Amino acid sequence: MSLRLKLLLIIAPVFSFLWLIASYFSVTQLKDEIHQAMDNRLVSTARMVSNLVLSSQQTNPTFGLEVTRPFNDSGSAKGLACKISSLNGEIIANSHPDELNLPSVLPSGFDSVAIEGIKWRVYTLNTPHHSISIAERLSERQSLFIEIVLVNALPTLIAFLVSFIFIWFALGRELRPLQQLRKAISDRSPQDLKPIQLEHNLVELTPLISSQNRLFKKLNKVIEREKSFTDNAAHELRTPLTGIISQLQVAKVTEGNDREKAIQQSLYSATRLQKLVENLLLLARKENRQAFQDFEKWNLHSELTNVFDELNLSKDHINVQVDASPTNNHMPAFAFNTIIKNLLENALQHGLADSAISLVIQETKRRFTIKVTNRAVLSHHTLENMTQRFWRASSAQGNGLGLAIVKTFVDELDGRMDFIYENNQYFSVYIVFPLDGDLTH
Amino acid sequence: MNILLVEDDPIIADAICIYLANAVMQVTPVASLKEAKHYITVCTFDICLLDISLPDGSGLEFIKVVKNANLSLPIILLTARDAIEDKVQGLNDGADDYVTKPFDFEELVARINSVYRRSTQQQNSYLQHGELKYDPNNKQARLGDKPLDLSAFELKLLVAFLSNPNRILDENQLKNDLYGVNDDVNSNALNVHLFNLRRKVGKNIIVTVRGLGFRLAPPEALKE
Repeated sequence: MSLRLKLLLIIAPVFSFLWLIASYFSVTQLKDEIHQAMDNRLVSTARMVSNLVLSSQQTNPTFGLEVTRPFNDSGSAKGLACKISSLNGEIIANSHPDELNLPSVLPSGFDSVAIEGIKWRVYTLNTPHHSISIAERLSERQSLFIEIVLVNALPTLIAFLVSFIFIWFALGRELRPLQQLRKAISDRSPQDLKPIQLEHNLVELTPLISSQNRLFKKLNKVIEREKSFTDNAAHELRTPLTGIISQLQVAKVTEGNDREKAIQQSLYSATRLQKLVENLLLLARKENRQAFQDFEKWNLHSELTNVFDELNLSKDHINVQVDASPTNNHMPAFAFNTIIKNLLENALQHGLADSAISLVIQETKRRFTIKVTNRAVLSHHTLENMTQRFWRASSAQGNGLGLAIVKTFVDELDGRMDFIYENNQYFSVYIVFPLDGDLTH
Repeated sequence: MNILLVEDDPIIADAICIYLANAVMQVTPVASLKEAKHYITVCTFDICLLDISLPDGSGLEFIKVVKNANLSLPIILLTARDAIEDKVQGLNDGADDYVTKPFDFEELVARINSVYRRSTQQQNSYLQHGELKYDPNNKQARLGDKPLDLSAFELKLLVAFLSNPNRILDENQLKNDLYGVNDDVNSNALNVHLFNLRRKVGKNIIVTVRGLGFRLAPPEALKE
């Protein structure tokens, strides 16, 4: 059901109910007024007849008519009926002798009597000489009342209908911005995430459009991020693959040293691709929470030696400080190995050439920390994006997964990773693992 | 044909240089936008092979630089991005063709020749000046019906002249076509190759324009 119809269905009964209450009181009032006016007419008529009788009595006490003979026997079913009688009950005149068989003398004032099934409203005026009764059929009053009500009901009904039509169009007009908003959203293509620009004066609509535009902005950001991720992933995967294929094509058309060099280059690219795939598998491995929870104790020094061997580094290249228990059970050995290897690789690849690298590992009762520091020139943009998958500051080395993997592992182990960049040259990656389950202190 | 290659991956750049050199093309490799911007201001290239993802920015930015400078440098985008919108954006920004990685070198060479033909408004897939003809598909030069036995440098020289039949080419342009812009070679080496080319093709074919450089003789002179 449309909002317009729903609003009309709410407004119409309320409107009609109020109108009916008002009409009920108006009609009741009208009925009373009609009765009052008709009664006044009876009183006026009785007084007028009384005056006429008094003035006529002086010349002819029976108005020239025989006693008991009606002065008007036309028998009209409408209008007033009149009966004049003497004080002893003798009827002097009766306009409706067949119908108006009133008791001989009635007390002064109004009375309602039923004669042969017909209800009358009677006003009796008793003077010292006569008794004059003016009567009117109540059905006549009722007919008049119904006639007046009907005459007034028709324009009221028309006013009702016109009001509803007016409300219907007014609602349509006022709800048009909602229609425009619906159209603006339904007509746009899925790729179109530009903000909605709608001219309207509905205060209630502004926050709705603002929320919608904020949602579009967020969606746009997410889509951009996903596109950037896909582009970077495609670039990282296809670059070594292109290296392999293109160098093999070169090897196919060359001989001697050129051919040998091309094969070496394609092998290098294959190794690079292998490493990338391994890193991706490593990221997939973190999904297996079990691997991070069930592990045996391992020796920190021998694991550090493994890392240095894998990176083909001697400890002379790096300033290593270990202030921790040789036996570690805070994280699985593969996680420690990966974190240290990636941090050192990152420092070697992106730090200033020949600058010192320091690795500090500390353990207290409450926390286990790893800090790798080196000299590097980093932009604000780099610092913001360096943990994004496939993002890298320069494309010559690495595959943009190193810090992303470290971050994923740290999160998985409920740790925290922070970057510290001091004096625009000393860059540190600082990782804290809480041993008491609390990182706040 | 003198090609500017803007590619940050040294292995891919190396393969392209070797393969295209084998196809009688001279490639000047650069690894960043900064270098590429510098080279187009100091040298003339026939075609640019451009990677989009570069360490110091997007290759699309380089297209804008080329177009703003009104340089007639056809650009072939060489990229790992294969989404339709990326291709459309690259071509709309002013690139002449789009090759996705990994690519086949035969296709790349065919596209380079195609773009080059379009940019020089050639009707045929071969270069011809009078009776002198070079077919890049089989790397064969002919004078009339007679095949010419030319070394790689002589062939590069001949292609440089055939690609610019009505222009005077100075020594630097010819050296760039032969060795690329990075190699510093002396004039004697160029003169030796010119001498050998004249000897094999005909001494009147390449005319020396004193103080300016060299050009191809008019087609009718080749018959003498």
